[in-house]
Amino acid sequence: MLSLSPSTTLPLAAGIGLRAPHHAQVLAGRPAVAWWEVHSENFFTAGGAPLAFLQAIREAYPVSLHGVGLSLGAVDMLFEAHLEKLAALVERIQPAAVSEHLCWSSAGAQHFNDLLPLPYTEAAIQQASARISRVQDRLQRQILVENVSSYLTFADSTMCEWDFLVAVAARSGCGILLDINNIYVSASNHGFAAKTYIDAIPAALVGEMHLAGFDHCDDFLIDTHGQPVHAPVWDLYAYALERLGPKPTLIEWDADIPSLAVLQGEAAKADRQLQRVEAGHVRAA
Amino acid sequence: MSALPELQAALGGGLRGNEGPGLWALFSEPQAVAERRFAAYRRNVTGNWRSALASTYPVLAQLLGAQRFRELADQYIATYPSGSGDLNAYGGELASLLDASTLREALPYLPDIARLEWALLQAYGAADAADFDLAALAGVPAEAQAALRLHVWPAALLIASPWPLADIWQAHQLATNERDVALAGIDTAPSSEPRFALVGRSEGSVFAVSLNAGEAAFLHALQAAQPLAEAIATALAADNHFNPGATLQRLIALHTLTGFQENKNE
Repeated sequence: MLSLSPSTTLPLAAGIGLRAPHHAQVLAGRPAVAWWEVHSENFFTAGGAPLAFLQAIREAYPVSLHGVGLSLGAVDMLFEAHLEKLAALVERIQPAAVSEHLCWSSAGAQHFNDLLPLPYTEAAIQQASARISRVQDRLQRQILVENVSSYLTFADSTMCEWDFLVAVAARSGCGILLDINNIYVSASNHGFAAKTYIDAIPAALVGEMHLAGFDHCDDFLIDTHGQPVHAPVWDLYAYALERLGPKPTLIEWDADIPSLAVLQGEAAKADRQLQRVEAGHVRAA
Repeated sequence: MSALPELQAALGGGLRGNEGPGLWALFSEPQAVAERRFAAYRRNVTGNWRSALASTYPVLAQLLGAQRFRELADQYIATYPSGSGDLNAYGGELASLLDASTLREALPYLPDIARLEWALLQAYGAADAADFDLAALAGVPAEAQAALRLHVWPAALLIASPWPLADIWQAHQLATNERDVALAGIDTAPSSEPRFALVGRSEGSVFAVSLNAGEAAFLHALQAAQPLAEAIATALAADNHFNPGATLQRLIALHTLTGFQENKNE
C-alpha cells in the first residue's frame, strides 16, 4: 500500500479553513482562494442553511471535509453513528479530500470533543488501523489522517510518533495529512528534532499539509490556531516541502479569527513557498 | 503497562474531574509536569463544552448574565457527559437541569426558554421541505376541501407555556437598548391559560412566533393528521373567533405547512 499516492483531487496550492464568520462574505464575493477546508461535523445536518451553504461553495471551489469527531483511536461504540453522518455528507458534497485525526476523543459512552493523543503501541496501531479501514470501506475512498499535537507522552509507548503514524498509514492504506505546526509544537513539548519527524515520512504518503499558529502556556506550546503561522514553523514547512515535494497546504485559524484578507495573506505566503519548490522540482526533473 | 481501553477510561475520568489513583503513572513526564499539562487538556475540553452551550443558548446566557450562565454550564457539564463527536449535539438536557434548578425562583420561564432554544437549533438543521403549492390547493374542488390533510413541516414545534416565550425570545434578538424597551413591554407574569410559541424555519432562518389559542389548536390538530374540516372545528372549539383563511395564509407564509393530500375515500 505504501506505493499508492493519496487519492485527493486538491489543487497543488494553499487553501484556507472556512469558518462561520466568513461564510456570508465568501458566498457573496467568491474571493480568489484555491480551495476550502471545513469541519465535517458542522454540516452534519439533514438540511437547512449549513448544507445549502456548503453545496453552493462546492459548486464554485474544491472542498476538503476535515473531521474532528470520529475518534479513530478509541474503542467505544459512538463511532458507527458518526461514520454514517460523515458518509451522507461525503455522498452529498463529493469532496476533493476527506481527512480525520490520528487521536482518540471518546471512552465508554462519553465523548470529550477534543483531539487526545494515543500511546504509540502495537495495540493502538491495530485499533486505529481497523477503524480507518472501516471508514475507507464505508466511504469507498482513501482518507488522510492527521498527526495531532500533544502536551503529554505515555509511559506505555514503545515507538516514536512518526513510526506510529507511518505504521498506521501502511497498515490501513490511508494517506497522511502532515500538520507542520503540530510537529513543531510536539517537538518543542517533548524535546525531539522536528526535522527527524519529517525525514521519517515517505513523501508518497502525504496528501496534504496544515499550517497554523500556536500559543505559549507555561513552559509548553499549545496549538490554539489563534495566531499567524510562526517563523520557525514557516522554516519547517520549507524543509518539509524540500524533503517531501509540494503538497496542497491549508491555513488553519480557529480562535480569534481575523479578516479573510489576513488569511489570504497567509495563503499567499504558503503559495510562494509552494511555487518555489515546484519550480525546483521541475528543474530537478 | 495498561491496555488501551483502561488507559482511555482513566484519562477520560481525569478529564471530567475524577482522577483515579493511577492517572499520573500513565505519563512519561514527572507528576508535577504532567499535572500542569493535563490541566491544559481539561481546560480545552471544558472550554469546548462551555462554548457549545453558549452558542446553543444565547438568550439564556443574556437572561442569566455571563457569570450565572457559566455556573449553569459547569453544572451541566458535571451532570451530563457529551454523547457525540458532533459538539452541535451537546446540551439537549439543559431544560431538564433548569427544571430542578433554584435559578427558576427569579426567572421561572428559564426551562421553557431552554426548550425553545433547543427546538430552534433542531429546526435550523432539519431536513428541507417543499414550498406549499397554493395553485394546487386552489385547484381542489370545494367539496373535497373538508377532507384534505395538510402536512406540517416535521421540525415545526409548538410549545405551550404560561409565559410569552416567543415575545421574550424576539426581544432578545434586538440590540441592547431596543431589547430593554421591548422587554419592558412584555408581561412576564404567568397566565392561567397556556400561551403558544411556534418554532420553525423560513428561508433558512429559524424563528419563534406567538400563536393564539385557535391557531395553536388548529396546528396541533393538523400535526395529529386531522382532516381540514375537523381541524377547523377543533380550532373553533378552542377560540370562537378562529379565522381559518387567515391562519392558513399565516402558516403557509411561515413555511410551517408544506403540502396537502386529498383524501379520495371520504
